[in-house]
This record gives sequence, C-alpha cells and structure tokens, in this order.
Amino acid sequence: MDPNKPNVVLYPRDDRIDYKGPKPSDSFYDSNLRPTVPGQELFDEYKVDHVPILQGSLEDSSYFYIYISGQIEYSSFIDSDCLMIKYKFIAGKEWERIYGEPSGCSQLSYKSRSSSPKIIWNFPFNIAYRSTCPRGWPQITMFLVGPDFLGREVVKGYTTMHVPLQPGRHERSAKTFTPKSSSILVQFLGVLKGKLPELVDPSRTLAEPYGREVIRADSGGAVNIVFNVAEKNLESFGYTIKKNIL
Amino acid sequence: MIESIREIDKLPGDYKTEIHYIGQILEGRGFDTDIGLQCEVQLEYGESWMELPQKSDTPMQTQTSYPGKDEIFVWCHPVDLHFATDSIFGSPKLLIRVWRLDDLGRIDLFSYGVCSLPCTTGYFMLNCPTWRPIGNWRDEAMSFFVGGPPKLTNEDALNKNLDLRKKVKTVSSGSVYIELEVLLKNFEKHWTISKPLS
Repeated sequence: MDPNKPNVVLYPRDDRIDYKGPKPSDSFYDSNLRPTVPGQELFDEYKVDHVPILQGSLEDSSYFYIYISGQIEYSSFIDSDCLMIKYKFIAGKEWERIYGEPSGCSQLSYKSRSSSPKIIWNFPFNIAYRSTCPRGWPQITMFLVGPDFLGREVVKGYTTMHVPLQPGRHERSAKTFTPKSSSILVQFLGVLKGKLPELVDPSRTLAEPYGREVIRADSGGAVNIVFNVAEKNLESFGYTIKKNIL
Repeated sequence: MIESIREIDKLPGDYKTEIHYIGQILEGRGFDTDIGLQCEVQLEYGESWMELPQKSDTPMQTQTSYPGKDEIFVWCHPVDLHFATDSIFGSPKLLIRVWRLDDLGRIDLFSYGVCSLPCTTGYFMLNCPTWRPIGNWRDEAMSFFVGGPPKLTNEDALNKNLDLRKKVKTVSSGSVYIELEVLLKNFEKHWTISKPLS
C-alpha cells in the first residue's frame, strides 16, 4: 500500500447490498474495480509500520466493525455423489462491506469411500463489515449445485444462516432444502430438460423473511460451517458481549 | 440509576434498553406425517415493548416443507427482530401455529405452541413442543377420514387468557426448533422493573 495516498477510499454507496432497493450489478464485485484500500490496518494488531489513520479513514468510532473468517467444511448430503457449493453474503441496508469477497464458488467435490461419507470442500472465506445497528446482521446464503444424470448443472439445495453474533469460534450446521415442482408433469419435464425448479433471486429470497410462503420445498441434507468472528466497538455502543466463548 | 419511568423517557436514544433477536425458524421434528407443513409465527409482547422500525401487522410465515428421509421439516426461515423497551415486564412471546397442506390443496391447522424468548445474551436453540385440541369421537373420525381437524375457536387461550386452557382437551404433536441469538443493548445498567404506564 502506498503510504502517500490518503486512506479515504470507501466503496461507492451503491455497493451496499440492499434488502428492498435495486440489485447492485455484479460488476461491483469484480476485483479489478474494487479500490485497493481494503482496511487491512484495522485487523493487523501487531503490524509495526502501519499506515497512519487519517481523517475520514475506516477507523471511525461511530461504527462498529465485524470481521468474519472461516470455512465451509463439508456436507452430509445423502442423495448426491458430487456437489459444488456457492455462497453469497448478504446484509441489511445500514451495513457496509469494507473487506473481502462477498461471494464465491467452490470446487466440485466427490464423496469418499469411507464408512461415513461426507462431501468435503474446506472452502475458506474472509469478509468484514461495519454498521451502526445490528438489524440486518449478515447472513451467508448457500446454494448446492451438482450434475444431474446427463451432467447438466442443477440446483440441489438452498440454505441460509446468520453469522454468529458473539465473538469467538463457532461451528454451525445448516439444513438445506430443495424447491418442489408444482405438479408431477412439470417435475417430469424438468428432469428431462435439466431444469429443476430454482429460486429467481436466491440470496435475497433466502435472506428476507417475506414472500417465502409461496414456496414448497423438500428437505435435504446439511452443511457444516466454521465461523471465527471478531468484533470491535460493539461494547461501546452498549451491547453486551460474552467474552469467553471458544 | 434510573428511578422512574418518566426519567427513561428523557434519556436519549442511545441509552434506551434495546434487544435484538436474530436467528432462524429452523425445522420441525416429530410431527409424524409425510404431507407438507408450514409454520406461522406471531409475536405477542407487553405494552411497554415497542417493535422497531415499525409494528409488524402480519405474522411470519415459512415455506411449505416436506420431510426428508430423517423426517425433519426444514423451514430455514430467517428472523430479525428489534425491540426497544421501558420495562422488562411482558417480554415477547412467539405464538406458533403449524398448518398442513394436503394433496388436495386444503390448508388445515395442525398444532399450536407458545414459546417465550430468552432475556440474556447468547446463543439459544429453542425447542417448542406443540399440541392440538381434540374433540369428541365424531370430530376425530371426521378429521381422520375427511380432514379438517378441530381447532380453537378463541385463540386467546394460547397466551392472553389462560383461564380458557382448562376447558380444552389436547393431544401432543411434534416440536418446532428455533435458533436464536440475543443481543442486549444497555441492559446491564439501565434495565428496570416498572409497570406499564397506562
């Protein structure tokens, strides 16, 4: 990082993922377009030659900060032999992403021949947010994708999960579901064409509590995730934090 | 230390006691059926509690879920609630109604449940067992062969008017799992025991 440049670059306002507003285009998430100041100095506690914090920089006591790192470990999905997982973080209106990639796509992983078959991805993620209100706490929405009997890519499961609120290491498990066809004929045609029912805008449909009553879904397997959460300034806002959860 | 509720009203917004409930209506277990179930969750709280940013008029309703091989109904429905309060009395409760959608497209009530929300910071897996009312043998035979199980005519018996409960005969049903994380604001210093204003 160039220390001569003032450390004032933040994301454009449109970059915040909005529950209700227009969907930001994917080009914002392209790494070439992102500014080169990721706010790294917030999280390097022991860095000696740190960039001096200038006025208007990321260190702002009127926000609280949350840093999430972790990995999507494995899935115990009974019906499929191989699966790929895509994730996307989504947060409320007041939240700003200050570091990390909001979405990603893992490798295609096959089951092993062991007695307890798991599909292991071991897919890491790093992301940081800042906000003023915990409402709209970030969620990780996940889509399981795999080949069908002709090798076409179909969706085999959706799930969502809130990032843990307390700092520390958390191991969580999320159950997945698959949308169901409206009739047997549509289901038969869908299997032939390789177009099983999907959600139109999956991450927002999953993250919002509205409009879910029209979905019919089959229950499926589970995805195991590990979160490491670090929080800053949340106590000075008056929120109670449990310190010793490990 | 705050002595009266009038003094709370003078406090700036940053010192109000607030509470966040963030989590999911996860799943239903032990319902012993293979048709689709959906869960409807309604909030009920006392007069000194205020829901932010506005009062929700409609209850939350999850998707219709069909059980997998392990007989779990996955709902995976996000919950993000925010309350400001003047007094701890009348803390929020969830009124849970599980509906079933059968093959003919009829929606019937499957079971009721009440779940009170925790008042301390942390991660909670709430397990809410549910029940449904039973009628006489004719009602039960009707509901077994035709459909349309008996339901409460006065739903105050759930939480508001608990004297009505002794008139109801019920049968046990499955349980609803709700995963919640609670985040308290200013509760350590400022939470008060005071009666509502009215």
